[in-house]
Amino acid sequence: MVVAEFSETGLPQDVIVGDVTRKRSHTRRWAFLGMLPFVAFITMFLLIPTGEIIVGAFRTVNGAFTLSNIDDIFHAPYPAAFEFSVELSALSALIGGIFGFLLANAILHHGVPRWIRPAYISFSGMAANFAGVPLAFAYGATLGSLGVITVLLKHLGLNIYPAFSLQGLFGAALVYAYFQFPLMILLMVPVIEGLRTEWRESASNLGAGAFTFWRHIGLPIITPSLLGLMVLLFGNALSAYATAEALGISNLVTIDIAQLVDGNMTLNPQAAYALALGMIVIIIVTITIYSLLQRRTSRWLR
Amino acid sequence: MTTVALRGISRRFGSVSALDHLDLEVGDAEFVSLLGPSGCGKTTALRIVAGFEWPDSGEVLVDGQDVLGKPANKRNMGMVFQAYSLFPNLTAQQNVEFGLRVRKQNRETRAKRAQELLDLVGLATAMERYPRQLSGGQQQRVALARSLAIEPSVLLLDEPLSALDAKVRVQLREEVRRIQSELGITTLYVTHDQEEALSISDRVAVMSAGRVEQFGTPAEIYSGPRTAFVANFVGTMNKLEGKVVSREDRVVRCGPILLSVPDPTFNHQAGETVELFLRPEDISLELLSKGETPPSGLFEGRVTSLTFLGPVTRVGLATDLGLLLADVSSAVALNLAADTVVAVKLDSTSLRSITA
Repeated sequence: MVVAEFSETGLPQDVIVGDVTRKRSHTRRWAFLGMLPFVAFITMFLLIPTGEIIVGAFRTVNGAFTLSNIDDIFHAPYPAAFEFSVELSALSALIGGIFGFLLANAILHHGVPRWIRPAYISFSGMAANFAGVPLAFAYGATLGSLGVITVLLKHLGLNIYPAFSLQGLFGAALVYAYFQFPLMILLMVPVIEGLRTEWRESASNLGAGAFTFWRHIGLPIITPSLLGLMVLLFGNALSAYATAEALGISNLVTIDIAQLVDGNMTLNPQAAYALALGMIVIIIVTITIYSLLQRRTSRWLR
Repeated sequence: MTTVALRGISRRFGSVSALDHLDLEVGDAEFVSLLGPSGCGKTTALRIVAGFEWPDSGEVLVDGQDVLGKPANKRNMGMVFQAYSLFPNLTAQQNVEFGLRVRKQNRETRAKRAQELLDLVGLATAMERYPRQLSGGQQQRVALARSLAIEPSVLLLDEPLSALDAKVRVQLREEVRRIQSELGITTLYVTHDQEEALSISDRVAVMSAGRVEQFGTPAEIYSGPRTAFVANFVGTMNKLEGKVVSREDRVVRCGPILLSVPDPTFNHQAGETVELFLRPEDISLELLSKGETPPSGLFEGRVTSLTFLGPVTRVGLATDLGLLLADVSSAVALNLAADTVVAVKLDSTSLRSITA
């Protein structure tokens, strides 16, 4: 007669199962507590503001439902502002992404003196946060119409104005690059460090030079991260306000939103909600494109 | 035909000497293992041959030509690493094809070669799988196939089995040896596992502190260690300390016991302190009845421990020579227990003497 089945631990299974199940359910019951700070953060700083924006975009000042706010963003001057915001964000993300990656790779190269890396990372940490009025002033003082470099080039016979302007697409992208590059470097260094030495050495052992390694192995492996970081740069540029404001750029969505809510002649908070909703849509579209690209470039991860 | 020679290779990392005038010769189609503990310089030596490290002095000759001036990607050597090193974004087939792709071989040739090699390592059905879909053993097989695809002049294996579980390790090391024999490729194999080195190598170089302590066939290394390090590192050894009584008769006194040492390499002066080494399997035991004294030539021992090792049991013995280990058949060991008194017999022909 079998009295009890014994497990590997030597204890009857029914005792163990009962005990463990009780413990597990007890643990599971309180597991959600660990999530609370995150849920609270997301609720306060993402869900509620987003909900507020969505609801506000479809309301009149009196609280009645309307589509006129949404309709407004399809009329001048807003389409041009959206176009410039997207172009500037995409260009600065592209330039920041490519050159940030190249710089990150350069400082990790084994031939570079060891002290360069921490010094460069520290500088990047500082530069990534150097935006707004000081940055705009620095560029104005150097590449503005009366900036030091502009004047110097003029003396040398090269007048970059009016073809170049800090308020134009390339000028603004150049300014944005100042904080986009370092941010990309900070985020890209760990990604490149994630490439195993054995992969490089295996490739080399099989006859591949550095170019072949990056083309067939390195870049395909980091592409999902690279795309993700470029989306981050895009979002970073899209939401930039202080630098653009200080530079005197007028046709940017964030500038328009500020003008609509800061109480001057164009006060219209409901239209600001609609513009903010438009920015949310742009980010959603960007993330969707990123997800599709990421699925294509990371088949090997699944 | 490919030979490899390392001549006077030295390499320092700061104040640490990783290799100290290392000399090593590997013959054509020979399988040589570099065996030693962690930090003895074996991997550094292999990486210098591969071209991933550079020596401070010395030369690496492949077929008599110094290759130190060539970068790793021009040496045509295949290497399998200790860590899993398959390219994660490529399938098993694409991994194997990589070296051929670099050499601009056409698609058909690449596919055919990959098929052949994956077949050789028993993974023809896993061609389309990505590395993360393969087990550790399978990944190392693919890595081996990948390194062989380029028809390397030399195959370098850097502890390729150390991350695998014991059973797979034994199975795979036999496959590595079979494939190496089939292809007749000159091979340098790094391991810290003595059993692995002794079981698959033509010759073994036992390394310590950046130097080769002894270089010989597995049988020579096992049965004729020439230094105390080799004796202690390879297999299990009993160490007996004694003083030479007679050089001519090769007699050594260990405690109260006189031992005759027929070791032909015995060359010690009378009065010199020597260390004698004897393997556990060279000690046999005879059961004694209560009150019985050991027969002539044998001495008394008391069982202190019994360790079951499968076909044999390792018996710890307290004797006049100190603590000894003896391997006896597990069937015989059934008659033994702690404190059993036995007669101990040393196979003196297996005694090796090394100056202390």
